[in-house]
Amino acid sequence: MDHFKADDKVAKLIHANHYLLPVINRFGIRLGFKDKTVAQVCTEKNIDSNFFLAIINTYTNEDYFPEQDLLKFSPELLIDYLRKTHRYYFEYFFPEVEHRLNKVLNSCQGNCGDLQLINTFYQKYKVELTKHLEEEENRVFPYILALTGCLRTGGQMPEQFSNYYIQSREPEHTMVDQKIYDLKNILIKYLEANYDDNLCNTFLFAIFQFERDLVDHARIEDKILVPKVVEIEKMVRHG
Amino acid sequence: MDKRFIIIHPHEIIRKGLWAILRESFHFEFVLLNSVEALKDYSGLKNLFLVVFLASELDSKNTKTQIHELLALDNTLQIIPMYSSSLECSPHEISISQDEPAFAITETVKKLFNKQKPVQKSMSDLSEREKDVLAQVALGFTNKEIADKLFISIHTVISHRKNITEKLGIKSISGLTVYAILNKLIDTENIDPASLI
Ligand SMILES: [Fe+2]
Ligand SMILES: [Fe+2]
Repeated sequence: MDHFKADDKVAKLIHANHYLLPVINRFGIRLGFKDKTVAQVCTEKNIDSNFFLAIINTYTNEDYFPEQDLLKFSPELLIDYLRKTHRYYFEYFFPEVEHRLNKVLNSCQGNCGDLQLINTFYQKYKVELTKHLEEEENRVFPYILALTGCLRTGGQMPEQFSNYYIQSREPEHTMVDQKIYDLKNILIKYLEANYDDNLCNTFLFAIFQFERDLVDHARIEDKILVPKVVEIEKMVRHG
Repeated sequence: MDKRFIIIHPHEIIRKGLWAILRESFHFEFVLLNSVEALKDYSGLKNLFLVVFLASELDSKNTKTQIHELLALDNTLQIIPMYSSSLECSPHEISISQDEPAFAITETVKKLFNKQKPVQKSMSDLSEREKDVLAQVALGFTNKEIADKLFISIHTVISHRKNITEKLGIKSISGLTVYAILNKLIDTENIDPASLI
């Protein structure tokens, strides 16, 4: 619907879309907003309020995507946000999802074969996603930071990145997005084992939230970060 | 096909008014904009049936072309002009006006949807052939291998796979494998199911 603006109260944001809580946490904004507006909080925390608004609006409204606005922000700012998101997956999401899944597994009575399969599916998915995130952390992001450094100082690209180009390096997101969707849909449509309803719902809620976060994350990388880096690559010739 | 309503009008009171009327009868996502230019932030819309309510004062050949360029490529598009008075409406086009009662506006939109009878894909169970193909996919065979084993063309295999994915709502190979095992389409007595996923 309507987009959030700088003079909106942060509390209102969260009432409208509580999924934003972990997102604003990544900016260091925490509960207890009182009547502060987005602009006030951003000034307090030294956050670029346009960047903040672009992130929360694209997160809230899947259809909204101000490519021009978002393309203005520096890769450093984007990477900082993306790294915090990765950390959130490692430190919170994976353990939380597993904790919830284990509770469902423990509640299962009788034949639990299909829950075991779902567990296997999740475990393999986690391995795949972890590889993806680590590739970004260890290679893609350092490369981008080196590149933007060169753009600023006019220096040489380090040896290790010769012949490295973003488009062949940022790992594919299709699989990552598809599998979390499949996991959700298999649970919703085809689960038959005897489990505790509430525990299973709690697990499913986590998957819903995870999917949402991941799709948004992938969209920022594919549609903002990569085009931006391609632009810089044209300016800093290396190879 | 999923639907979206896009309301483009310079006045907030009209945008929100029309939104309030429509959402009583239609449970789709809405996008409210004050100008045609603002549409450029929505260039990611895909595979949707888009109904664009366009203020008649913004309605010109030019804006229509602009809207088509931005949205028509990946979506089905219907533009409904919004007049300030019903005197301006022509019987030859679908339109609404601001002096109409709410139910008349709702009726106009409903009629539009009835005309657009969606092609209903039968979401029933998989056919026997599709089950055969799915079992082979789950066992890890390529399209070419499946075609050879089942004596069908690769093209047929691909079209079966497309139907399977649509019917089940599962896209990845490992997701399809989980489904195949759950539904005993493959014999897992001699294979460890985990090795297939
Ligand atoms: Fe990432
Ligand atoms: Fe990624």
